[in-house]
Amino acid sequence: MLSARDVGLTYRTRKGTIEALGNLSLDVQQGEFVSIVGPSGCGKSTFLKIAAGLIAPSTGEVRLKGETITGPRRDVGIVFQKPTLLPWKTVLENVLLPARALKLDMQNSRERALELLDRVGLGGFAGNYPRELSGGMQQRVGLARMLVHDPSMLLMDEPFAALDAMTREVLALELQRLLLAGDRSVLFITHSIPEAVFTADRVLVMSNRPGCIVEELHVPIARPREVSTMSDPDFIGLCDHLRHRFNLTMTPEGTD
Amino acid sequence: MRNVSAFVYPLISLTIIAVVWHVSVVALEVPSYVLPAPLDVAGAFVNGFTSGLFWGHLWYTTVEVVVGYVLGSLLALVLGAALAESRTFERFVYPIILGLQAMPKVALAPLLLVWFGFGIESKIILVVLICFFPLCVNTVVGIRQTDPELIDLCRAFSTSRLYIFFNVKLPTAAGAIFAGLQVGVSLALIGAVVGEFIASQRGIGYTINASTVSMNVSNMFAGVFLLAFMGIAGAQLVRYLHRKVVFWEDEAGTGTGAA
Repeated sequence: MLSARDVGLTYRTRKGTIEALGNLSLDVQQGEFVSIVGPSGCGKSTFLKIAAGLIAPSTGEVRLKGETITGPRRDVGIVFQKPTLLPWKTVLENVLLPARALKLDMQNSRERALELLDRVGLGGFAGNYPRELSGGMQQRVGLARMLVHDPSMLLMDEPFAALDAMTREVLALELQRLLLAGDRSVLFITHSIPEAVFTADRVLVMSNRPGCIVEELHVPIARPREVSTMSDPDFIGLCDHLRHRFNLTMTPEGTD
Repeated sequence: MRNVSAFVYPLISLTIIAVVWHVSVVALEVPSYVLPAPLDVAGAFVNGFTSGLFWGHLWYTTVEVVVGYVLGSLLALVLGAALAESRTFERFVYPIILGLQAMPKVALAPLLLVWFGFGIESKIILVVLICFFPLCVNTVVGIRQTDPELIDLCRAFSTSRLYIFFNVKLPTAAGAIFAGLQVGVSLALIGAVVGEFIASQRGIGYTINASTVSMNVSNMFAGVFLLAFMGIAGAQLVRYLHRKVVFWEDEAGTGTGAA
């Protein structure tokens, strides 16, 4: 579905050139949920922006369904750490933003948007404005917006990082529920190890800058996963393994 | 209740000021050609309207202010948007605009008279110039405040630049734009009055100026109050529109408003 080959990105600042990504390669299969964990500033978000077609890589290429990504694509859904809603539009209009931008049939999109809002538990808030919602609710609107144009590839950049711990867990469960029926591929970026393990079929660990994948971990825990999964010995074992790996990556020897 | 008290409290202070004013004028026997009593001013005010003297002048000044303000604001919006959107344009023009903003535009009034004559045109152009700069700069700053992530998000949906401009950047800038419009109201009045002071046969500025010849200080005061009312009415109108249009923002930073 999504395949990155030797993706590198260097950019110039006043202090000299910075190598953000170095030879990053990864694959996301059709219907697979892949999480990337890495230290902050390792270029996770930068890679996501490359995959979204917002930035061009300096070297290498990213392919989606076999085609090299050269710009934004309509079969991609995206969500950022901040809800990034338009404060002057109602919840429904915010969800419809991609549909309007892509000039989809509005009647169908409206029905779909309302259904998605129902599914993220905001059925009664279609006519409200973002400022009337809590942070968690705003991010749910973001999730609905990500799905409104029925994308097959989802790019999620630390979508729950700005939320409190309780809301985070609830939303991770809801995300799973939202995606369970479909056959969508997901690239999910996080800096929370439990969140990465809980959500993903496969976890990739990214190194410090210049970022590349240093570890791959399959998560063989069956879906649907529940809150109780987080106290499952398998789950804890996987988290511990990643934490250990993370500490190795973060030691001064691991950086340059 | 709030709305009522917002009017009542300043009215009480105004009444006190008027009483003190009246008592001082009577007690200190101030001649009316220096400071007329408040009742004389009120008389001149009412008389100005009943005799029909003020209407023509009021209309003339209103036309200058409204036409100049609308033209200047439109120009500022268009140029501000172009400056915020085009890097090249910005490099060449923005420093000049920032420089010109520091210049007192009323200093141009005599020059404008030479170029555009003694009619209404020169006054309108002065109004255009004077209310242009703050709004232009505010538009640029407002558009630049747009959250880059919001733009990224829209770009990820392959949204056109034009769509992003009208649906994301312009609404983001709306608060700053209205702040610029607010400043423009009082500046527009200054422009019109200065223009009329320098050379005019009509307008409220002219009335005030002409009253000096006859030492009719009551009339001068009446003119000044008339201008104050125009300013308050204009500012309230813009404030009302601000609240209606930019409904999603708190009204913080738009000054302490009555009403």
